[in-house]
Amino acid sequence: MNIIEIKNLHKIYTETAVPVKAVNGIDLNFEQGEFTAIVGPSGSGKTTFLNMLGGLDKPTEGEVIIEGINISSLSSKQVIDFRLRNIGFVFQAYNLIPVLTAKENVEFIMQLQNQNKKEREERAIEMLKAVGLSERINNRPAKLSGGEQQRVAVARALASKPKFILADEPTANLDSASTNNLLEIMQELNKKENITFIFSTHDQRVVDKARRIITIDDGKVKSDVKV
Amino acid sequence: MEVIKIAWRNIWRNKARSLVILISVCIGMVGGIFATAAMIGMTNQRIDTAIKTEISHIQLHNPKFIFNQEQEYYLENTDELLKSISKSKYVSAISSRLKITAMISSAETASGVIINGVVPADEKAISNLHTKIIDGEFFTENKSNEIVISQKLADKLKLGIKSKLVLTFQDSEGNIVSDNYKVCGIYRTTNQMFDEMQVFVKKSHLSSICGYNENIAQEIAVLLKDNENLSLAETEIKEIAGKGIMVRTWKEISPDLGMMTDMMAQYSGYILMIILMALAFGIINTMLMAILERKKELGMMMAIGMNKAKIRAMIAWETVFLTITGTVVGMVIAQILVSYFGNVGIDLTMYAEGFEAVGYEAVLYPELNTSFYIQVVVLTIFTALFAAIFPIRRAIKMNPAEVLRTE
Repeated sequence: MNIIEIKNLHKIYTETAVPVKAVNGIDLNFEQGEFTAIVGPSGSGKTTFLNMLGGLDKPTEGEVIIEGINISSLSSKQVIDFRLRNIGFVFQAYNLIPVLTAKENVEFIMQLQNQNKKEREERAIEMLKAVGLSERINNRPAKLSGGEQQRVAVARALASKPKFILADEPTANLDSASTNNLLEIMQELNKKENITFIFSTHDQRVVDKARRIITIDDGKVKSDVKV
Repeated sequence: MEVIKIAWRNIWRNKARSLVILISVCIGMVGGIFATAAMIGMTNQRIDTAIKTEISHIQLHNPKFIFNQEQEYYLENTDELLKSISKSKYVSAISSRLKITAMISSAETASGVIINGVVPADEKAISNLHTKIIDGEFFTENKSNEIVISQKLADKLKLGIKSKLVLTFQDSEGNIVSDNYKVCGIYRTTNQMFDEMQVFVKKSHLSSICGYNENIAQEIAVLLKDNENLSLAETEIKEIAGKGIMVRTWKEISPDLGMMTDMMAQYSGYILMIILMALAFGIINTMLMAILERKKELGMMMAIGMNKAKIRAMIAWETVFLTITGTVVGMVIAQILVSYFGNVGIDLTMYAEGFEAVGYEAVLYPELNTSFYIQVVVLTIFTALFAAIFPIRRAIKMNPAEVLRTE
């Protein structure tokens, strides 16, 4: 069953002297439980595509329909709330809140969802345990390695019980050991919990683990392969 | 709560920068509060001196005496009036006075003065003038023709204790009379204008010379137990005195003093506003820098679903914390300084002559009440919220997709 339907998606940046077609007519569907890598050279439109998929950017043309809701037509207030309740984000630069501990960072998104304190704490600990950080829950990001910080980011993304997780180059700043560790955790969560992961990546190690590989170039889908 | 926690922790992320702004706020607060306390202390001292030494809280006169200070406009049956007024629960002391314009002459020179015919025991209860005696005493029991003059007048007339002088004035029938007096006491207040004009003699003696009976006076002065009850006491005394007698509070007798209190309240408000406005720009700058440094973090917060209201609240809290922390520290330091100098005083005796020429004391005792501190906190919060507007606008305008894009 499709949870995401993308129809004739276009994004044209007109701020420059010559308009740039970052995404140029993409039609795609994603099913529940996918573990998909979106690959392509720098400037191919991967991040722009992911931003529109996550409601961070509005398409110039086309639709992003998530479980029947066209998020491109939502107001900015509605789309913020939609993101909060339906989409998990993992960023390349981890982007944790430096003044909060690992547990508080994971709890933060649940607090935005107005969950009660007990539920939040239990789920934060559960998520951190799931990503292998049960010993580091009270450490602030500065006391964690890059790999550990990214695992906290994954725990945070999972904590809000999203319909899918978008990860923009999640392993770009990690060493091999941390990358493998993170990928194993995400694969396990994908298999056990049927959580949908969509990555944009340059990293062959991520591509090797993916079960679907979509190649984008010049803002268009060049290939879409299920492994 | 999480927003408040993040805001509080955020101000300590860049300790050096936060400390600079906290110290600026703190110094501004100490300066503003202490300057205000000194001004208020100076004003209150002047009012206190005026009430305790010069005019008391309330005075009663024949209405015509107010506009034309002729002795013929006197009050009658003052004994009954004194008894009735002294029964009021607000009244601490009461005294009747004869007030007659006269010429004072010594062997050297002469000067215009106002003779205050007083009952020494009543006057001691109502005024602290007897504590300002620097030579001699505030009347003796035996002699009737004694006079208490100021040091300024004594110097001018070249008089000392036991010196003789002549007062020339009109009696009740308009005849010019001259009467000999011997100086029994010399006083010195901090108001040179008062000192230059006011001399004191026994009322009983002056009444007999002028041909008045003991129940006649040009002025009745009332000292209250508490200035807070001024208007209540005024209403009650007006009822007792009836329509033919003018009852006025110190604010009406000396409108400049009443005006000073209001002006000081306004001035202190202006001083504080100026300080806070200056600080607001420092705070805006600091917060804008903080927001620009953290734009990726803010972008992430927006991306994962933090709405604009929460972003606004977080920045507003951060600005309020930054400002209030410096304010509280500044208020504590200012209160310590105000308490210390409120006890020992700020010695400005090198400018004593200038101060006393306009009725002020040369040793200032700063003072402030709690309501002023509450005003400071409220104003500070408003300033912080004002200062937060610009950083909030900057943050809200951010596009998370743009700020999250890694170079």
